Amino acid sequence: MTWEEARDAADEGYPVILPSGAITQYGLHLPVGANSIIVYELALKAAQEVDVVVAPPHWYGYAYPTEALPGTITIPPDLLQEYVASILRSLCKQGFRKFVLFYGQLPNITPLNYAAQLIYADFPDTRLAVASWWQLSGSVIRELFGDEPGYHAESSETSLLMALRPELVRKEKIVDEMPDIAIGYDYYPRPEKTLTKSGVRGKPSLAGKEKGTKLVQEITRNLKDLLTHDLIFESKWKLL
Amino acid sequence: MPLRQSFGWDAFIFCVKRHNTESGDPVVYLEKMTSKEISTLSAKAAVVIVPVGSMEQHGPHLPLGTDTYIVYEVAKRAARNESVVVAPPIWYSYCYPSAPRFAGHVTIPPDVLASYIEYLIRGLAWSGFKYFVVLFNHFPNTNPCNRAAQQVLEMKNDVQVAVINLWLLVKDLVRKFKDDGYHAESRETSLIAEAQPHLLRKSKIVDDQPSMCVGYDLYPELAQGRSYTGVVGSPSRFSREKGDMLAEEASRRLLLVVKFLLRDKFRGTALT
Repeated sequence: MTWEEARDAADEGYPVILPSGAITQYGLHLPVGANSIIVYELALKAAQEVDVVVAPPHWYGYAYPTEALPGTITIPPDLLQEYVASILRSLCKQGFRKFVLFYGQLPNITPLNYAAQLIYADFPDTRLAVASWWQLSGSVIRELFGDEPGYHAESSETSLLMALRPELVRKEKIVDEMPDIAIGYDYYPRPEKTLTKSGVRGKPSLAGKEKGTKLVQEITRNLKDLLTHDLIFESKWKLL
Repeated sequence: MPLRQSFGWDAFIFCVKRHNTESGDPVVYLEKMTSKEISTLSAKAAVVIVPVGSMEQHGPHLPLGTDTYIVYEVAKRAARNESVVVAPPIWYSYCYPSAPRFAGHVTIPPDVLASYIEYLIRGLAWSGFKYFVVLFNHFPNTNPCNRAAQQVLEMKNDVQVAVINLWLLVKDLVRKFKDDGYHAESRETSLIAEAQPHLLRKSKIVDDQPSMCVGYDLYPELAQGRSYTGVVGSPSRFSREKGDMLAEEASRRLLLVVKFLLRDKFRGTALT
């Protein structure tokens, strides 16, 4: 966009999507940028049919420091929070008022929420949604992949990338691996037993391009819904 | 001879426990110990539980301190175990600022709360403690509690911190209550009925639901996401037995975490 076009978009009340990613190991078969690529591509898809500004993704995010397989880059959470808040603050000053912080990297959740809270405190007329792609995927994940307990470089993420950027998936290198133990709470530093050799935690062999396409359609539909309904998207999802 | 050489860990716990038992209280509370006792105690392995509550409306029938009473109750039960020390609870914490309709709300900004917990842990780590459980149940505290642990880890790499949402720890049990609410509902009402029965206003119990629910974080919070009474769920399904069962099972699972932290008799059991 040019600055004039950006000004017009702000005047028209366009919402802004900030795709929030990370550079982190993604097993043997997915690139380290998988996270950022997924959210950016999904945002672009939604933007084809809705009036929205897609901001360039921030590629670097917060990764737990113990997960230091090569290629993982971590930005400390407080810096990431200030970085994101600075982006939003700039856009707020120019008149943008609605933001979707769209993420795929779970550890980003804290810095993003903090940034949103800071901005809301400074600009009380803003509305900010902090949403992950899985929060916008309804019940489709469960229908497609059942109760697969994986949570990193596993079937859903692999499928998404197969649908969005198939050339980046090293199919012959797909391995299923689960850590010795899974813990249901947050733990610092991460116990080694919860990590795996390949970096995969799940069953990417269950992935497929068709599954990915279905998932992409559902997420895009819900993201569009969110954007066209003043960032309000009703969900059956509850805290429990 | 310095005290720490003359008594072993077991002997010392015994002393402390015996001391507390005289006041009818077998639990090891941090605030009731002396500095000397702590320096001896923390030289060995002990897990400190930091209960994080809130000061927030909990409908017409529960007190503002409900969250704190609940986590503290679970922490106290876990502390019957010898290797657990309970830190004083944090009464004030982060509440979403967009609920001015309810009096009694107190909100501490998330970064302030995170730093507060961070320095609390660092202080205790400086005293020699290495293992911490940050136990919370008030959902908006998820981020500050995690941030606190992340900040501690940026500064010190020889401590271990587990950050636990009590409701996630027992979510399979709560499902059986058939109450899909999440505020001042049957699980919280049951626990207060068990832990602080005199604070439950039974005659004022009402079931209520908000008109809408979103599945992601939204700022400002939706007005439709709150009910008029402040209750979200069916507190009428409460019972004291349910509260006792929840507190007992939660503390049992908490002890599994404690064992995991201490790598004591832990055999790779999945805790999810």
